[in-house]
Amino acid sequence: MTSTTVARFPFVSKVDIVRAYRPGAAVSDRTFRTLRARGVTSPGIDVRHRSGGRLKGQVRCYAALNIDAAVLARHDRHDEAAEVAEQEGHFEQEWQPLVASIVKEFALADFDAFRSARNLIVHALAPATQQLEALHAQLSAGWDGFLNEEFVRITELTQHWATLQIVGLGMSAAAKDLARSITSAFEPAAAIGRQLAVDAFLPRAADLGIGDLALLRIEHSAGASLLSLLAAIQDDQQEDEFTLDDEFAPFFDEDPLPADVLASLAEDRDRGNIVRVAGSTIPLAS
Amino acid sequence: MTILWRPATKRDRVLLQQFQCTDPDGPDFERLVQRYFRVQAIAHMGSHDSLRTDHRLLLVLDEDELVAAGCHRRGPQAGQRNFVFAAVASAFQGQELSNGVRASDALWSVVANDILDREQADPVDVFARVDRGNARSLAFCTRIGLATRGADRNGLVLCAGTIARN
Repeated sequence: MTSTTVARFPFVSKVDIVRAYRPGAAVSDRTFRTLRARGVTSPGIDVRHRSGGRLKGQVRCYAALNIDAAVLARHDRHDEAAEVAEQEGHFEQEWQPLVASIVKEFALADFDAFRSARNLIVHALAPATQQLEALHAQLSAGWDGFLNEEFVRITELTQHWATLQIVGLGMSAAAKDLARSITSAFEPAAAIGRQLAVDAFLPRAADLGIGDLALLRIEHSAGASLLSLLAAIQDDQQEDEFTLDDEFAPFFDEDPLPADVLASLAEDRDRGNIVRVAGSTIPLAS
Repeated sequence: MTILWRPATKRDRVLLQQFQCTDPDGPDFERLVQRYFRVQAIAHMGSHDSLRTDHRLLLVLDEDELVAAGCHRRGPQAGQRNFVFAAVASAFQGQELSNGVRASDALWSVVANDILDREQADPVDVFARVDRGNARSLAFCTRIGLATRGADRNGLVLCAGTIARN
């Protein structure tokens, strides 16, 4: 992620997914179970951290494109929704250890705490974020433009209206469509240059405040436009320039281990040849 | 004297730049490992590649003196860990530390426990790739229970074993 790149926060909650599937309806576990049963939602990541034998926090989250899968499912595009969910399952599996280490390191109590800490953990999340945006670009290529997205920053928030500054070098074609859609759908909300005005309910519902980055989504659906905001992040650290010297590369090879090595390891395990590791008696330096 | 361990931070750059685990005319494979710790290890730590693979750079210290360094990261499949590099500072090689533990055993204890903590799984398959001429590292692997299991596609010896909490 470069210093100018903004991306969606790569994880959402169960509530976010259910709201995307049934906008305006009460959030219920039953709806979520139905989505899971239909295979249009990924399994998610469940991280618990304990201290002194007690549960100190539990973060349950889902890859952010589950929102898209839910919207696709609502549009009866079940095959596409299932494809998104499957890809999201792989994504979650890959990044589960990173989420687990962040949750542990920051002692996060729940998903809200995880999302609230997004600006602290943005650099750690950068590779996952990049991968998710690439996956979104790949999967959304065939979605016929029924969904427009634009990254924005919330610059003003009054009792009734929120002003959103479009983030980026210039307003994209999608953003111009978005502005037109908003203007027609939410009079007297207006699009002025690179700024949009929307109902203040939108950022409040997403727990976003002044200065926050967000992904503004507009969905065209049977003569109506549905607007929503999702939390977004920006990695202000410099582009990662690190290159591993070639001489070290063979030691970092990521190819799967040869089948005979795996077989011999499994054989040893079955025989009980396991190295027992005593708890560390060497203190951790402060 | 107190033996301590910790994950390295950016502030350890100078400490690692001075790390010596072989002679200037030592074998290529030993100087390669020393170069990694001196030149690349710190920069590698915060890179996307390291974050993606949960790369861990661990240091064992005797007071402020660096005794040993090691790094490990997720393997290609779930429940696997690549014990990439390990080195004991020349001054401590074959020596017992002030707590009576051999320096290389102290390093392995730190690495093995960190692996089990990071993977949040038990047991975990651990593998290391070793230059075929590196008799000392091959003996170390055998001693800690990573048995020799053939060679990889680059001709490095694959040592592997399964570890679990006692």
